[in-house]
Amino acid sequence: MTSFLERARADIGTAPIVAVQSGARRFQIHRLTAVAEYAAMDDMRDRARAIRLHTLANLDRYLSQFADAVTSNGGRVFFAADATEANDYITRVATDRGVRRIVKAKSMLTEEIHLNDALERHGLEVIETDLGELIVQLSGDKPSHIIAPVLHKTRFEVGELFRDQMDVPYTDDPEELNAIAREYLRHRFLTADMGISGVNVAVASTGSICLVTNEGNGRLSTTAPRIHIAVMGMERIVPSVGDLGVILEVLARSATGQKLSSYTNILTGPRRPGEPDGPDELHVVIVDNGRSNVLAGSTAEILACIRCGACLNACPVYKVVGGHAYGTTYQGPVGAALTPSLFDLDEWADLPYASTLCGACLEVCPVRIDIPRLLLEQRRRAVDAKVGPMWMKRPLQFYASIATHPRRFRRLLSVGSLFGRLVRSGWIAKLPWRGSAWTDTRDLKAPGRSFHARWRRRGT
Amino acid sequence: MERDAFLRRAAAGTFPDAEEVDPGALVPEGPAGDLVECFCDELAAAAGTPHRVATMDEALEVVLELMDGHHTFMARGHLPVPGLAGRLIHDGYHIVGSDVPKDAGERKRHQLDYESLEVGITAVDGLLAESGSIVVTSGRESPRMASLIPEVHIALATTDQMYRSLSHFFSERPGAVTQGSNMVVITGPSRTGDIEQTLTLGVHGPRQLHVIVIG
Repeated sequence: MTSFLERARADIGTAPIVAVQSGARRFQIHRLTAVAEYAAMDDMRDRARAIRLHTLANLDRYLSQFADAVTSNGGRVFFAADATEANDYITRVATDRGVRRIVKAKSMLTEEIHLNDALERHGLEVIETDLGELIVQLSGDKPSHIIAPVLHKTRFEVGELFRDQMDVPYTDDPEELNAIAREYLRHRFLTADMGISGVNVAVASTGSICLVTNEGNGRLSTTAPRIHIAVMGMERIVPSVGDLGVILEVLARSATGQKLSSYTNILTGPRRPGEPDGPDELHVVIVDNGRSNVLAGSTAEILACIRCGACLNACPVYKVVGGHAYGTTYQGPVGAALTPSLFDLDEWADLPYASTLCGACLEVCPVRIDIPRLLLEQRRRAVDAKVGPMWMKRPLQFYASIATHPRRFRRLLSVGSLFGRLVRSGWIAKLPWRGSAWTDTRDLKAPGRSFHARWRRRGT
Repeated sequence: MERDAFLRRAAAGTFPDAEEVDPGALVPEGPAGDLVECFCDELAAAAGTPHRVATMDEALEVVLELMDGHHTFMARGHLPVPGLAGRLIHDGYHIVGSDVPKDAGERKRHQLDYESLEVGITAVDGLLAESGSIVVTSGRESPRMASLIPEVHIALATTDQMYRSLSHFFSERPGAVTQGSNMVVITGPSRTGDIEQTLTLGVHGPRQLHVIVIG
């Protein structure tokens, strides 16, 4: 498997990354405008954080309450310890009930557990219905942003893809591409046997699940087919409807800068007697897949995340490397803080180093997750387990051997003053060897006199 | 996995600072002043079309204008304009049945009829001034598809259904969420920005959302 650095080096500066960059900036501007207009934002963020942490601290109680409520609404609950259990259950429900065609609304969790692969292995037809996810599926690609899967693709690429895969004339007009997708998906929606969705937020007291979408595919996937399967991470829950309101007020504003997304869809059980439409069967699959380990560990706070994507848009590293460099379902700062705890630390130990620790992610997080602290904690875990990028070890040991001995430290500083030769008016314009990686593109501020030197000369 | 074993694993979280704050809902003040005006402005900002009318007759006029050029519609139950569906049928529009059969095959056959559905007409359960949203719950007389499948969705509401914000709606109408199997908060027409973040309307849901506010 490749490392973060290898993947990032391959991507930096390419056209898709430029697209990601401008996309992320646009999201940032929309968010800033929305937040500035909403006087209650800071209070609501505090409350959203309190709600999420309180729920995580009492997760067993709220999950139990939720499961009981789903059951009494006429739905079924399945607890899946891992990806295999979840995929097996869903495949079994589909094959037992003669399902052939499945439509899917956007869900990160089903990407994480590779549900589509499992279903397709059993000969089931699986169709992604979010426009971005459909493009990802048809092109055999991976999403590059948790809320905008094809942020890295141009309309020209989409035009060629649709021409090749859907047998339509080439167009690169987004309106026309959209009309093609609507046409392509419409009768597939209406004739699907099963709809699979994720869950943005579940409500413990009522057994409701909430899906937030702009396109309406979340509503269609959960209305037209006779069976609806909702797949949710075990942490994705709040105690009450009022708490759901708090989360919703901060979610869309942080994600796209909308006050609310086009469709905030709340589902409570399958269709009831007398209701004209809706699914006749509802299954809620609650998935652990490593989450309870995260919950028990030192990075549990990351489970408070509501998946708005704001930290990706704010992150200077994400904007330079794009989503694919992270190599995981969850990109950006949240991905780097979550992935090494959720999965194999050994494999993902380099992700927490993909950060300058500048704090931009913490500043925008609607639930104020201290992502920089979590990234440091992940680095600590990696070093403890001796799996982190070890190239930092010797330079740091060298630094420690000097910094803990004042005499050695002063001597090194005087060596440092040799750099003075390179300085032109306080700036270094050219460094030799590896240093040129910095000075090729910008000047480096020359080090001033040391604190010790200035202290000695104080008052003179 | 067994439920009890799963729940034991879920009990692993310890958050020392989690208990200190009372985590209940918080209802911010929300917009003040003329809420209907605020609603109409926000709906327009979300690419929806508000129509403010004084009487039922005016509302009917607006619906008839919007129906012009279309042929089929879905409507059901008690709408704020009495006799609306009958009038449309009388005027020669075709009403599409909204009862979806339980049988798998019949269900698909019935739903394929929706491909020709042009206009959905519904009532609302609430209007949210702050975001320009409408709240629609499913029920015996309220099919989900009417606000979802057609290219044009016409929602009929009265000014006394106005709430300041989503938070106010949840706090004043806590039972609305579970009144039917589905409650949806609709804010503007169906949209996407997935292709180069170019705003495109009418992806899977309606391309046009008209809200007629009566009173």
